[in-house]
Amino acid sequence: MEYTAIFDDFLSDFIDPKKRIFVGYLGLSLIIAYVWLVAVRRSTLKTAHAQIFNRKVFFSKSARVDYKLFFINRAFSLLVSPLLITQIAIATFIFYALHRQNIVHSGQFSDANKTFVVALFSLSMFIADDFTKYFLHRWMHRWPMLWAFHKVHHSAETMTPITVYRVHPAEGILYGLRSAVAQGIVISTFIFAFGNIVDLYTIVGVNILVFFFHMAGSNLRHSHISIGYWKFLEHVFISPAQHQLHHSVADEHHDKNFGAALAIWDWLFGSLHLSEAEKDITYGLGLTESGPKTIVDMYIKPFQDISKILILNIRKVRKLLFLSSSEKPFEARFGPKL
Amino acid sequence: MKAHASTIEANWEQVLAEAVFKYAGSAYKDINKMQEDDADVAKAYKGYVKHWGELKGFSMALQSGRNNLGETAGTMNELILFGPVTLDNSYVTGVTSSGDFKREKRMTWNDYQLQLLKVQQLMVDKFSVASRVNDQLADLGALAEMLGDQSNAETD
Ligand SMILES: [Zn+2]
Repeated sequence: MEYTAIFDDFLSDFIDPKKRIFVGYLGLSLIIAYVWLVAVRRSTLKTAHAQIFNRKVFFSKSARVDYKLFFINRAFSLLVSPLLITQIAIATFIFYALHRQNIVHSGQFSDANKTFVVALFSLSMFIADDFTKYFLHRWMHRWPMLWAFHKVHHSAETMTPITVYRVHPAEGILYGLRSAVAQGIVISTFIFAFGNIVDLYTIVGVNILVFFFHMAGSNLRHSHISIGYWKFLEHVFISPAQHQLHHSVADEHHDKNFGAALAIWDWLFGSLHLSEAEKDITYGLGLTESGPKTIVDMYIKPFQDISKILILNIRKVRKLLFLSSSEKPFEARFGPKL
Repeated sequence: MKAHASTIEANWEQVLAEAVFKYAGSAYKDINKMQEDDADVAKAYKGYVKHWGELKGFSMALQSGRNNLGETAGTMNELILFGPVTLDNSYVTGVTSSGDFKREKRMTWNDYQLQLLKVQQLMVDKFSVASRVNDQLADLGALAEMLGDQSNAETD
């Protein structure tokens, strides 16, 4: 491959409307940031400009690491591509399994209104995707072995839209598998019930709802522009400020706002935290967690952490077994020494 | 000449496998039609029986070629059955000593449709059927592909 071709390939995410960092979404996020600062926060255009293009953010040590990871992780993204096969396999398996029940027969609702079916499918796909993202994200925080991987993302101390690429490849694979399962279930159920009228409403090839999510400034989630919504709206959609709060080191923000687009999961399952205006947030892992220090660490450290957890658990189990038999004090087993 | 003969033989087998694939798909669709709320059941059933006949015919031709299909033939026959599942959901399982059809077993339409899907899969697996007319899984694959390359590995 020519040098330019390689470079083009690396930057292809910027011109792909399926990716969050598509230039169109970035541009719109920028406009939203200006409007927010000028119209809501009453800044002058000049201070808004200075605040948005803050060199301390975009050229911080943390941000420079993100830029490097952006290029390195492109290579790892190839690992995710075989997932399409998994997805079709899951969909086929469920489609077969649906023939084993007799409540609904194949194509029972194939005479339904097509517009309705396509809208329902697009919505179901979006909700299933968002719901599974919420739970996987929650587990990434709650299960120590998964947290070892997700810590890489949370080690960012300044956030830019590129921080979305500060992710361990293992996490990328888990999210890919998640989507294969979610999509496999929804696709097979819809095809079974509605037949070949099922389709997706798209704009530039993207599910229309995902498109609106990105148009609404999804890039600002990883930024220092703290846009909060009205209280009632923050129960439905996660605002940029709410996601920034998820990255906060503060104790009261710990394990809050796992949601991607929708806040209703956080609301339902008790992890919702509304945004707080005029409160400075420090991003990162805080003092109690040790994060990766170097680029190599970003890839290796999670595995070291996991082996530590495993060894610790093996010791615990051993101790437990030991205590219940031979490690009991002599007196306990044989009575007082004579 | 011999080389030609074996090429023709292989192509012929391919053509038959494609026909089996196609008519298994037709029969599947016919069953859907029969179950529609406002269905003209008699008409739909007629179409189903006709397509089932084609399916059976091509499947017999496929196993009477020069190549011994062995296990594949057995599986195919078990899936397609001796006779079509009829409107009372019974199907022929054999012949009694007096020469009548035995039809004591019943199978739901869903179950039989599943078997037709498996016939299609068998044709793809064993004969790498390329031209897939009436592919019941095509819509599934198309949607998966459409969604598959959305940025699903994107995390937060
Ligand atoms: Zn997180």
